[in-house]
Amino acid sequence: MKSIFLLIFCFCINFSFAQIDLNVKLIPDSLLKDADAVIRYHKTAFEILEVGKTVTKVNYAVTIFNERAADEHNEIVLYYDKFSKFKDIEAKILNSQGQVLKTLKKADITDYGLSGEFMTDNRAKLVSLDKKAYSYPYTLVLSYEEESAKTLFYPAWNPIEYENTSIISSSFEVRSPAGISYRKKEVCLSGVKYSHEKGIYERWEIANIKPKKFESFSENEQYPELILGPDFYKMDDYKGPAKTWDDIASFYTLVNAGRDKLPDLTKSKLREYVGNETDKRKIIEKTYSFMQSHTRYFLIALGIGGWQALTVEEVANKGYGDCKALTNYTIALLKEMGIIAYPALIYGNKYSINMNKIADFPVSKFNHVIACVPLASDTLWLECTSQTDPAGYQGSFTSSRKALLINGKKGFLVNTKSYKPEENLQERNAHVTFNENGDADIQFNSTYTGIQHDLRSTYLEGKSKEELKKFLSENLDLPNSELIKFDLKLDKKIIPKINENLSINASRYYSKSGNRIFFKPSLGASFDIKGKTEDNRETRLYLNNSTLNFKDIDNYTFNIPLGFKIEYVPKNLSLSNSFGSFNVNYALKENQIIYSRILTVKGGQYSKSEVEKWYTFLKEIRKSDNQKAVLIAAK
Amino acid sequence: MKSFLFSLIFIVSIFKLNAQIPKTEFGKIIHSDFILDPAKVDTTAEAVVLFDKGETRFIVDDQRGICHETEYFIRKKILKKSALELATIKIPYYSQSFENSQILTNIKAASYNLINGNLTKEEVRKKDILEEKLQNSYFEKKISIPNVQVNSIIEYTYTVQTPVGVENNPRTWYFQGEHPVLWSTYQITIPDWIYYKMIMGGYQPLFENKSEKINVNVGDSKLNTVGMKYLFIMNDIPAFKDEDFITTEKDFTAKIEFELASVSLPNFTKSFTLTWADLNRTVQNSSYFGEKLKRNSYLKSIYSQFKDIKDPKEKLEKVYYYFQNYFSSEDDLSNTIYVENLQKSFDNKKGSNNQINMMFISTLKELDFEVTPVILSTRTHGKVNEAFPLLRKFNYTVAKVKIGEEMFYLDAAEKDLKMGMLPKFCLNGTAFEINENNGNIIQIIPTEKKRIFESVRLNLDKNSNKFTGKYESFLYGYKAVEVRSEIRGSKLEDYFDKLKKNSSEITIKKPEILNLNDNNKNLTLKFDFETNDEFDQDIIYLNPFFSGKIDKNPFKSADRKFPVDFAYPTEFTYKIDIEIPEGYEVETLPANINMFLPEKIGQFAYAVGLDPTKKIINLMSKFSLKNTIYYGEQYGDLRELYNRVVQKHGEQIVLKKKNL
Repeated sequence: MKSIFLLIFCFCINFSFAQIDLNVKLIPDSLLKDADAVIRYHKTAFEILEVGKTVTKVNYAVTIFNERAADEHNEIVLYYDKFSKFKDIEAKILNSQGQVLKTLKKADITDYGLSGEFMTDNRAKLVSLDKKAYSYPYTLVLSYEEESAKTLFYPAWNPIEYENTSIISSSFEVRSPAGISYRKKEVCLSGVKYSHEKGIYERWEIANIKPKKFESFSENEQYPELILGPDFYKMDDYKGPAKTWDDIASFYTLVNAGRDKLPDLTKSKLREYVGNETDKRKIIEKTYSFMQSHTRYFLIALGIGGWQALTVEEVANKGYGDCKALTNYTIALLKEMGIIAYPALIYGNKYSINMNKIADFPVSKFNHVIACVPLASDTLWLECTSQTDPAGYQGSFTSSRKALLINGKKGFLVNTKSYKPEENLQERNAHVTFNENGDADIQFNSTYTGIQHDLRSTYLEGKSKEELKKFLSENLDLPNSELIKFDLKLDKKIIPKINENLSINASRYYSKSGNRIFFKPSLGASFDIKGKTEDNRETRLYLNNSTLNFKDIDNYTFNIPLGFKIEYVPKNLSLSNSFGSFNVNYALKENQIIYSRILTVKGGQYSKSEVEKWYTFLKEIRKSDNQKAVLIAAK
Repeated sequence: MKSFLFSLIFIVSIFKLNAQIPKTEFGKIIHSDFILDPAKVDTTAEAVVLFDKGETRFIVDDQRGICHETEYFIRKKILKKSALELATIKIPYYSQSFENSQILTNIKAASYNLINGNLTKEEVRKKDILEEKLQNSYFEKKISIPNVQVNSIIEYTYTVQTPVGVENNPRTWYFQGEHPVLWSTYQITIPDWIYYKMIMGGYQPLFENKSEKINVNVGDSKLNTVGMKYLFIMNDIPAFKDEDFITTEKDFTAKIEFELASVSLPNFTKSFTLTWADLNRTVQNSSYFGEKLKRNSYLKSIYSQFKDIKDPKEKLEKVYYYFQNYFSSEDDLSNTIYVENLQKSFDNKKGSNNQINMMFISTLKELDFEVTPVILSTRTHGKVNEAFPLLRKFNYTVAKVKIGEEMFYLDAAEKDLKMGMLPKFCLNGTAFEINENNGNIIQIIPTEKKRIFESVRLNLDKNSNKFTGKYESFLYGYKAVEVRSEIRGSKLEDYFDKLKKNSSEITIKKPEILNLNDNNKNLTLKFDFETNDEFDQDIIYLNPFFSGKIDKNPFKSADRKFPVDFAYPTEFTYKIDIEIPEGYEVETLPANINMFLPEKIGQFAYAVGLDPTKKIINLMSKFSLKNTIYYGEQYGDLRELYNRVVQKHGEQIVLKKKNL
């Protein structure tokens, strides 16, 4: 895999872009084909000045061939905060011969506050180069310097960042003075290293990369990546080693030390709330519910406050906090009840990311924290920023991934809960009665659990009855239906469950052509994900554990109206693959058709050879879901 | 129909005598405030606004001049956890020089909880009011109210002082919002040396509408005077519910707007636009509009190219498409018709749509066309009300050209239009022509439909047992614009890929599009296809719609308050000829249908039959909606028409083996 990224060693550094001829003619033909843009050169120079200070110099030139590429490159957003700043932002636009058309002015840079609903000191500089239309192709030349005092966090380098973009050369280099070491993790990449008495110099480069399209259902793991990690950090008044998970845990413990004192009033309120409950699990649930009903999420991250939480006392008095503050608060409440819990740092998002890459490479790549309560038989994970989740339910934001459990100065990389497909269940039972006029009465009795319960639960708990009705109606894939009655009940267990009863009048549900009745037995059940076969697939099949890990069961009974009999039902179908299975069965009785459909999809990584099978699987399901059954008037 | 719309904009006062507005202020919470009556307000909502009050007065400051000052006071009850975020209050303001800044004072916020009959109060401390600089001179105060839980009441109050200016009218008062409101009251006291127009909008009745003459103290003895105090109250206002097929929710939300009409001080008298003729004059004389159309020597390199074309229509066409190609337009629509820096846009070959159209008008003038600018309001910017000539209500300029008896409305900035069409976002009813006389109110009527004509020839391939077909379609008017825009935004391949991906029942081969780059012509889309299913049974069930199938009714709910505004008429025609496979005969064909909406403003025709040779089935479906807007009383019929289309498009043709 590595061989495709031809390594070129080039030792001329720090030349200014003015000296390079950026005439478009110089781009090799092989890199022009299918390219919306060509990166002429892209250089990142990361220098560690001292333990508490780094500088990153970036300069690059990219030739833009069309509007799509212009949209990607004409605006550059540089994010910064109290610990970092950008300087020497310079940019030029060159015509196809490489002559300067425009030089960046101060007015082309806008400065924004980014707190939105919250209070942070995150800001951005937006560099806009699109005030004027230039005829394609043109070349954008940009350079800037970032100073950072956030030395627990070193940069990563992902040179293949854009689709349909070829790269003539892209490089990354590191310099560090003697006595300051760092760590590196190379993915599909290798570099050159020089050590001498003044320090270390290392350099990586990729060159002559043809335009790529990111593959779907893939982690695109074949792309090169470099991750750097500090050996030591210094931020504000905090400093220490940063080599191991223990070191990262120690930082968190250090900045949050002595901030966990619970006010007496809260203690007594909590004791009253929990009552004389003795079961450990029940105590945890009640404590969690106490936290949920007394707080709400509000992010305050100013200065070191990005890592240091509000004190537990402040949370208790104000009734709000961010993930760190609410987690610390919950841990303090549990401690008061004699239960030990730990904070767990995590990278939360809707798509479970593969942290395996850094499992053996301790770096702080987290954006969230939750509370972890070890129990005798299992482990309970508490999402403290949710006012509604049942205790221990992780949903798609934090499940199936690595988390860093913090126990004082010790840090352990552990797995959060992984759900089985059956735990993300949608089971729907329906009885359908055809009326004379083409309408049908449908009674649904359904269950939704785990990730499949999430959306309904959001509506049930957060929206008015009218909005819930609208949501349910729009989710029925029955063209002209009216929701007559609906009733949803939420059972807040560790795998939460919703029971749903719907009464529907589907107007013109079936169509009568002559003496036949046509209808879709799938009742609009569908798995409408589309995939397109790629030529020369490079990567493995990846089904996201958060969205593509579930089981659907549909059991529908159709009562055949008087005077009709079955003329045709589609064939039974049974598909089975490593990533899932699909079964459709028709049971025919004298006056009933019983349709059953079971679809299971298991999230995870599968070999490249499974990709084609996956697309066929999707196609077969789609075809089956669209099939119709036929009834004919009995003579 | 125009008068119908008007009667909706003006609100009739309905006095509900049984209700009485509570007397309350910040900090005065009583136990009964926590109790909500489900008969009056939707208690299943996530939050309810108990009281929303605004009070505006005018003051004169030595340094800052005339200012208006509004005190806001809002009280809400949190009913669900999802509404806890309402406890974070953001107050935006701008701050430049002392003279030109908004000043925020008297900020207070608190939460109240009723626990076991005990009322507790938690007030925000000064140090918990944070400030963030957003961008340039825009700032925001942020308050996070403590101790907010489900069933808490939160309230906050603040006062904003703003220097008076044409752009700085008293803020529009919205009676209605995303949560239901029990009481909303707005009071404004206006001294008689300043005159504002007040415009009400929305679909909600006023509870009270009072005005009285009073003495006004503006804090400056020379300017103290008499004036009017107006009071507007609404109660039990439901949450605003957004619907599909409306122009913008602004057109339908209950609100009151203010527009500066005139100022008459002892040493300063000025009238701002009052009549349409005034508006015409203001725009004509503005250095940001009328004057811009006079100076145009920078355009010489363009107009000199077309000087020699004789036929005026040919000339117009040439100039129009030249502009369409020459300039890149910045996508975002502006808030005003006024433009600056035309010469710079020209040099950059890039500008706002308004800038490009202004240069276009100048060019046509220079080429001796009978051309005038027409100003309008885009759909998301809201409707223009004929009764109020307000410049602020307009945000877009197009050209009106007359050649003999023929009239053209032209937008040379939008890329994919055929000459003579306006983009969909311009199809918003009332517009105004700026001319040498007094201007002209005009109605924008779409000249084109969204129209597609599809035809398919189908036969069964004996070898594969699959149906194969040839598809051809002609896309006209807004349909062609839609497809051209989509392709321009990506790549032709991507468009075809998407087409293939979205066709689950057929495999598309050799797709082809004709006339893509000639906006003057309709688009033609062609491809061959093959069904994915094999048809080898004794009986063949065949849905004849391989494209153009309407399988969902866009109108789900049984009733609807707001008119359905499609912007343009639509017409979808689908035709298919199916060769009856050898050895098969027709068992059943769907029934024909031809239904109309009252007054024939909509039609659905579906006809199927055998051709004279008895070897081919001809099927035709035509669905057309002639009106652009359908009102409340027509909604039921419109929805039913769609129901029938969906039903018929789902029907099957049944073929069976002969001698079976």
